[in-house]
Amino acid sequence: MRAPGKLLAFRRPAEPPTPLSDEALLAACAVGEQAALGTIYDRHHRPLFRFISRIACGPGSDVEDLVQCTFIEVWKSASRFHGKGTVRSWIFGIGANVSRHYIRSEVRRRFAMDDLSERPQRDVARPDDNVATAQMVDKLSAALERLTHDQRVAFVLCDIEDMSGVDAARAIGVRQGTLWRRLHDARKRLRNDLEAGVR
Amino acid sequence: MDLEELKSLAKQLPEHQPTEDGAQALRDTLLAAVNKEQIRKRVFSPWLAAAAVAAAAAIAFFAGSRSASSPTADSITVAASPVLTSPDGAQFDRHSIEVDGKNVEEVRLHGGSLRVATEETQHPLRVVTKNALLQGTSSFSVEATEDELRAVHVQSGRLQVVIDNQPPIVLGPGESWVKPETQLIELAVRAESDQEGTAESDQEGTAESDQEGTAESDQEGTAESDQEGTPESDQERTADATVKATNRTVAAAKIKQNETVKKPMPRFSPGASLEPESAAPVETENPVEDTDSSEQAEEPEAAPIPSTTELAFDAGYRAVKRGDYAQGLRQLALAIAETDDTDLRADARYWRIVALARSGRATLAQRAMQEFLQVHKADSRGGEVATMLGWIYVEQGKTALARPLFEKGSTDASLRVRDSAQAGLETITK
Repeated sequence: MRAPGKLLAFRRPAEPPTPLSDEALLAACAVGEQAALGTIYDRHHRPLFRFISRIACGPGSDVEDLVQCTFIEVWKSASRFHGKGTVRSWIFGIGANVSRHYIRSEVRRRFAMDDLSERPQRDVARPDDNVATAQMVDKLSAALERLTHDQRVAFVLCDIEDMSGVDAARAIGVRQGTLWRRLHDARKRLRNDLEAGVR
Repeated sequence: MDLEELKSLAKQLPEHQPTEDGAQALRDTLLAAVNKEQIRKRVFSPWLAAAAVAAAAAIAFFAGSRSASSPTADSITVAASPVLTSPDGAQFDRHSIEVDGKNVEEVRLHGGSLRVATEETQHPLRVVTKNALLQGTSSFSVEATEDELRAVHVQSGRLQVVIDNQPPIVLGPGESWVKPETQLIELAVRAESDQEGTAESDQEGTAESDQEGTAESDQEGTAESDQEGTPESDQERTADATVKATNRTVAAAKIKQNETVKKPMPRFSPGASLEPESAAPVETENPVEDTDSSEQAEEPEAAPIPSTTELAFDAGYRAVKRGDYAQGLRQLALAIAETDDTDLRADARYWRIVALARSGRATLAQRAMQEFLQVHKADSRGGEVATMLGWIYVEQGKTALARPLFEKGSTDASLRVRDSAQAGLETITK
């Protein structure tokens, strides 16, 4: 029984634990720590959703499947991460590969692709001053779908996700020169399509 | 248009983001999938692999020295061990192979039957036939004829079965895979490969075929199959499932029940089940006469405390019923991954199909249906699931695959399922 009135020694609150780095979490994944994968998922699933939804150009439910497949590959391949780039770019690289396989089979199935009708429609009611921009975004979206997968990945990684060329090249496993050529081609085609008003 | 303008425009492109619930459901599904993968990895720890190799070498040495007959050049049949027994003199080889940089003992079964018990010893071993790969920590019996897997039955633990490069099936205690007498699966696989071989010349690989036909079936296939199949499940099938659940509960509480009782009961009510009153035997129309009432009076029945997997199933089932598919999928995935109860797993797989189909996730729904049909062949909902899958194949233009499924559905006990299957057959014929 504790003596009445006895006070516990004053203790300073402990410092909050430093969050583990992505690299440490991946190392934990490599030895089978599932909680680490959960944390990696929490940190990166939103950017990955955004990235895959832009390169896969598919309906939402497929994007979810692709994201899940990507994280399963992250888990399986965690031991093969050597820290040459950022974890984010590495995950994006896996996502790009997973999407590439998906897109190949999708393209086969829909080779008579009616991409305009497949593309989700935007809201009709928009403020007048935004209509022109919205139309341009629609055009860009259509033009993006017409790029090759490699060009699209290069463009999304570098120009939308603002990844450095070095990281992007590493992520998708190509030389920097190759990446820059793809990016150059992608930008050129997109500009041409937008300026020609092709839809 | 300059580069900055292009970039700025590109950043306004629409993006897909999941809802909070969707992201959480995906996280849970992911971790459940990873858990299965980890179970597989755990079986093949390097120390155990080394021990297995040493044991196999010792067995081979003694068998070789004691046997008068010399082994054939291409097949060295090794004596059985406690881990591996052969009741009928099966023909098999054992050797060590390297998997993911680790040594694993592989048993190549050519014919006959084997009993394998790796669960207690954690012996890293996998069984391979010409068309199948079996691995996991479990006790199971396996039979092969002419180099091909004929049947596998799991007594305990979990066993991952990959047949003809199809997505793996995980069998739990009491579950079996038997080569279908009707050749349904074989027909389906053959027809699928024929169709893909002719229609699509630029094949990339088998893994991709899983992802084919998703978007279109999202729009039409699942919607129709959902309409055709699942509404009924709310009525008749639920009753069937609840009877199963009731039976499980009663069995757990060691209460003798008349098996003819088919009174539909609500599923577990977690709060209520823990109360002593709700633990009482199910009220039957024909109470069991041979129950020793004096014993019952002296010894109150133990409350059928629901297991965590029962509770997970119950929560998942209720969530699906109220349309919260993300929550439903999360709970059902837990129930499937954790339970050892075959009936509960069948129920959970069925409702997972419903949740996936209703939430428009056609690829996963299709895969779940295929898995259900392969694992739970005798389940009363087999005809309904077959019919649902048949409609998805019809939407994808894979009529050869759909036909055997509709034929299965056309013999279902339910009139609605039979009608739907019949309509499917007529559609194919046209």
